[in-house]
Amino acid sequence: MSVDAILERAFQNRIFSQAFFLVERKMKEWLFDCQSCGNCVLSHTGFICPMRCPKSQRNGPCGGAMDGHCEVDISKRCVWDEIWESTNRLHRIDLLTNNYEGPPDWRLYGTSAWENMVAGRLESPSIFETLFRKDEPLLREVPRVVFQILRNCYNLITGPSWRRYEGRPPL
Amino acid sequence: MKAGSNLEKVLAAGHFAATGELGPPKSADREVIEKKAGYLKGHVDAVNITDCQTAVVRMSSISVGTMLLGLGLEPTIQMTCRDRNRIAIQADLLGAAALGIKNLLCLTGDHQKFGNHPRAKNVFDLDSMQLLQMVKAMRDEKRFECGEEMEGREPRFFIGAAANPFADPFEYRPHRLAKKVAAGADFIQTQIVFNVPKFAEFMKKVCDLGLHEKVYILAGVSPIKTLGAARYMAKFVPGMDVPDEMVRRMKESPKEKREEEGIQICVEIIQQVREIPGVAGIHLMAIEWEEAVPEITERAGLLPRPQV
Ligand code: SF4
Repeated sequence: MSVDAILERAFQNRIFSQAFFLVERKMKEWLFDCQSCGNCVLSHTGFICPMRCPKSQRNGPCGGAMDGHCEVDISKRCVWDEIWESTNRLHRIDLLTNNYEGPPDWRLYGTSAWENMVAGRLESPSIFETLFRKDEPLLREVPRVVFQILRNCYNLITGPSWRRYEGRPPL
Repeated sequence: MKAGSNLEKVLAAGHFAATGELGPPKSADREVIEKKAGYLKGHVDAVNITDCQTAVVRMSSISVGTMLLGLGLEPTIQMTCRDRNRIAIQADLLGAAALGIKNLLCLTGDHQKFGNHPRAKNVFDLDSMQLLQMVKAMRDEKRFECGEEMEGREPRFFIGAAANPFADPFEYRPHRLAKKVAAGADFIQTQIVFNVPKFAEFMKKVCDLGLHEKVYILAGVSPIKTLGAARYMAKFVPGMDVPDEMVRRMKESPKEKREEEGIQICVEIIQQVREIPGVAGIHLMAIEWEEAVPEITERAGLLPRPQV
């Protein structure tokens, strides 16, 4: 039985699905500053959540980023600048150039993206398919991805965050 | 022909296109539109009408577009994702098409923080890429965003998108343009070009990707009116790249001659971008200075506009 099928069965249990979402939500909040949009694209965006962007840009940066800072609040980094950096480190620029993210399904806001994925509610390819490249041994790929996630997470905790109010910059 | 607009015909015939821009008033004055339209008529192929640009409340883009049709100009309406969700966008576009508007520029929109209603709630239901895709599907597949089939006539637009060659991350910009072309853009209007070498570098990458054959690229240009404007744009306008050289030229010319110098710089830039391979035209954004358009187009050798 595939992982998808096992999970699908498990998600039918209410308690399991609640507990799973609790863990998923908290983990993703800490690691990625996830906004629980329920339409997860983290595996296509170098493990940086694009929904942090004040304009909810899911297909690339707006025209305002300057010196890597967001036009809306220059004390914060442009999310897409981070995504570009992170995908470069993962050698996965192809994800940003060939990928088109469809409009999000806002009914799924605040629900578990894994459950939605397993239940086939998302149109984008499964996380399992896009997480790792096929042409490299997993033993090399997995540590790189994990290291990159932790690195992003460290930047998130130490750097200016969209989650903290850090005053308004002068216009 | 996708929509059969004047702009599309000019571009398809291989002419060097020139489009203008008209900023609607912050009031219900029809006279302002008529006055500004007078400066633009006969000097450009189509006129962009901004959709509450910099998030300041103004007369709506589609209504001004209809007035321009009545005045004999061709409008290019702008549609942003800031104020409307996918239902409102589609509804407005159906109406615009029925009113006879044929050009459409799809934008994400400035954040409301910059405008006069910073406390407003934004929408951003779609982003510009998804908007392009949606408009294209409405035109080519007669489908609404939800997938439902459209009965009757579909809205046919010549679809435009914006590109900023100067914003970060610079290396990603040509790829993003490629994505916009794949999503459905027929023409591109760029951010105002002051830094011509950097723009040329961007265009080279665009041509390497073969995009100049799939899409018409209009380089944005704008005259600078005052020294203060030059300084402000250099420092505070997000996504604008004004070289120090420009600011210095404005500063060194005597005060009464500064407007003249601004126009001169603009004309020079038009002539320079015209030489860059892949540039199909210019987009002249003389916002709140529409009087300058006749002089600039005349001196840049863009007149008379082709009749197609
Ligand atoms: S600068 Fe970056 S983070 Fe800020 S609104 Fe634009 S795309 Fe989003």
